Amino acid sequence: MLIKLAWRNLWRNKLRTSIMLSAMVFGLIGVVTMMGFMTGMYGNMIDNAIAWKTSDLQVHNRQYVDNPELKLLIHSPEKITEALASMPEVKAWSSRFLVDGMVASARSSRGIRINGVDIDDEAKVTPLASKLVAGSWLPVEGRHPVLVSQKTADRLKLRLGSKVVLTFSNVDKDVTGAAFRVAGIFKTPSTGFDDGNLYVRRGDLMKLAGLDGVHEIAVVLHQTENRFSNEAALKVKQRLDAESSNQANRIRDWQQIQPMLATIISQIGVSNAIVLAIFMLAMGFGIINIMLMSVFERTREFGVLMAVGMQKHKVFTLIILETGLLGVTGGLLGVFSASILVNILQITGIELGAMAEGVGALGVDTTLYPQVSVLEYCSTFATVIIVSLLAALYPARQILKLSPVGAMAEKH
Amino acid sequence: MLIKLAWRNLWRQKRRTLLTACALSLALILSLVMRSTQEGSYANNIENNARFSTGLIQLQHPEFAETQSIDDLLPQSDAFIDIAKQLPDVERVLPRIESFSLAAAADKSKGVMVLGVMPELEDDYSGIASKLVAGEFLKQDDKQVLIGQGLAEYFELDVGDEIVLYGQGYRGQTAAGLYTIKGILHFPISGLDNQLVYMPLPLAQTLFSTDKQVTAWVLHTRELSQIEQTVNQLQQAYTEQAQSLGFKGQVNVRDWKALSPEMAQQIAMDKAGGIFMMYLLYGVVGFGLFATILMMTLERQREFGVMLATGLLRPKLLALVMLESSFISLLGIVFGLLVATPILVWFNLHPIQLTGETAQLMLDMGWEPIIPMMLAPWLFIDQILIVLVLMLLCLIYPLWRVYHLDLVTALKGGDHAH
Repeated sequence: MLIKLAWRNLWRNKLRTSIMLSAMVFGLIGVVTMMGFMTGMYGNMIDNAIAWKTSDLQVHNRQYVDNPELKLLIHSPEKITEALASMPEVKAWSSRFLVDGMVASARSSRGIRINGVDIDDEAKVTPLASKLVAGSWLPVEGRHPVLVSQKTADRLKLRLGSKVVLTFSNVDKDVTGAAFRVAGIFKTPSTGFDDGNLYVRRGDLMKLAGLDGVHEIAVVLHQTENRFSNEAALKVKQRLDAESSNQANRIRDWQQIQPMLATIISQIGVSNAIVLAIFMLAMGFGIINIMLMSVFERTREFGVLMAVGMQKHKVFTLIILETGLLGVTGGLLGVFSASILVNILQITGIELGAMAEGVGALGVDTTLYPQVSVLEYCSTFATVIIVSLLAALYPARQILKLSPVGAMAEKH
Repeated sequence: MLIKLAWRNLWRQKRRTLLTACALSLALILSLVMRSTQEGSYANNIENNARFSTGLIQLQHPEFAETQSIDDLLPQSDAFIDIAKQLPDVERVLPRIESFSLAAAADKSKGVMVLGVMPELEDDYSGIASKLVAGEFLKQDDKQVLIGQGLAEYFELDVGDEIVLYGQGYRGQTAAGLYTIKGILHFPISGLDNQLVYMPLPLAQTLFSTDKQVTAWVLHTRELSQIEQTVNQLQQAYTEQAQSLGFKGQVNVRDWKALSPEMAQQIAMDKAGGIFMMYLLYGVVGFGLFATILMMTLERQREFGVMLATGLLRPKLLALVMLESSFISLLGIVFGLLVATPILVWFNLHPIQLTGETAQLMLDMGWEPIIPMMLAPWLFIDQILIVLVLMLLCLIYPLWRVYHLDLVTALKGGDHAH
């Protein structure tokens, strides 16, 4: 009964209610898109970081992490790979031999990390083999093939088949080097990564360095539902830790390798909440204002209602209900239209091509897809309703302060 | 007369006026604080990046941008740089050599960036000497080097230890040398901190066998806002005068946006996000303002009818409505500015220093973890203009309604009568 009355009251001034509803729809579309954009961007950044840089887990020599020396190899890597092979959730792993050195062409030179990889294993761990701009993945045959990034290729003026010289100090502390031929050119979403990495075969690199072994084992797991969680990685880490008793190796999950990623995840929620709060504040002001107008126009009417015996708390409930219904309608319309827009953008994507270098430095793809979870839609909707109800308190109180006689005598 | 009337009308609905003004000022305060924080940190980052890394403008060999090769050089002669010095806005010029080389110490090696500079000039420009964590700063004729703290940690080196540089010099010559470390620098840009070897320019020129040549002339201008103009002047000056000075080839003039496109674009992106949010906020508040102004006119149809009937001209009535709305907007602006200005002034003088995880995050992204706010008149003017435009937009429909007010229905109480 009261609900019906409230609903009708709401539509007595169609224009005003429509304005407020438009404000809500406008605001919600904006806020939800913005939140989706931010989540999409950070989610993409994390996805890319895991796919290209950290994988789910990495194993190193305990000392290597702080002090990347050539000699600090992983202790008995076969045992670790055996253990990994026995775990069903592990998708693939790659053993790498790493050296920091220089890459030089006749034209110029750069400092770079030389990744010595096993061809088949690496192709399963990172999307590298499938993201080549030119050429092919490292061949099994052939003398000293190398994979360089597009950025390095531009800097050093390299083409497929060009010769580059890699120099670094070997295990005897002598500067050593050899000529490599460019077999392929790759491009990852992260310009920083592209700037600092190139790939050769592990066997070639170990021969030059005069040392056999593995510096890093990168492990990827099968996709889990929540990609912001490192739970699966932690479980695998625990089992690996249990198997090797002497703690000579250190196993880190992606949040440990890049603490920045964990920080970002914790900040997405906070920054989205701040954005939402600011808009709700602005919207709250609007609702208070609209309801105040609507209530004061009807002071006399409320006086009459009270005089004929309607209890005060019912009048109060009526006003709260009106605002609540306004909130529900606005929230539903807003969230619905926002979800339509987000879904469209999820198909088309948001093109950031003009900002390629800027997003590249953040490790983000140039086409972004906003992401809004069902939970976020729900919490946004809930916030709208809570804010409308809170906003109703002030106008409702104003009416309750009046006596029926005073209210009836009110002119405007 | 009209003004007095408008002012009084405003206070017939005290709460509504105040609430609308409050909503406006809230939007204004939030937007102003947000924008000034954004602009403040951009300016800070540009300035930092310029002083410690690229400078605001660089003169380079046309090929250098792409190759960063030690073969693509400019002369280090007075005749060459005097052309730039003559421009009024160029404040200082610094010659630099920037190249890459393999560094080795103990049994580790790493590719590093070698920066050959004029130590006194650089210190004067960026105060880099104060970033020393150990040892002493360089002198121009030193045969020693400084290294970044990150690099020192990587190699486990201390002051007095030696480091080997081995790389490619001018026109394919071998560039190799053994240097004592005179000091360790904490370089404020973390990407560089991990790979920087800092040495006097003459020493770098000997290492790379370049003679009196540099990879870049770094210029600093007096005004950040004048850069575009200065770049144009430089381009013109060098195309015209290079030939006559016997300098072969051309000079590439690059500003900080070209030198660090990543930063320029991240700033652009961040700015776009902020502005989007600002308009959204004003949009939401705008609907509220629209509702208020519309109600203010529709409720009073009868009153307007009487006024028109007793001889008030329609343009005057419109002026009255506009004045009332302007008063609301002005109230909002004044109130907003009164609250926002002290906040901005305070944080402009005492920038927020971030700590903990967020600070680390910013450092990792290459930003300094402080939030300075910018105080610039255009920021304020922008906000005020937005409020005024918003008000004009909100006025269109109500004014149209008032202008086409039908006198008879209005006198009966309008189509809005209860």
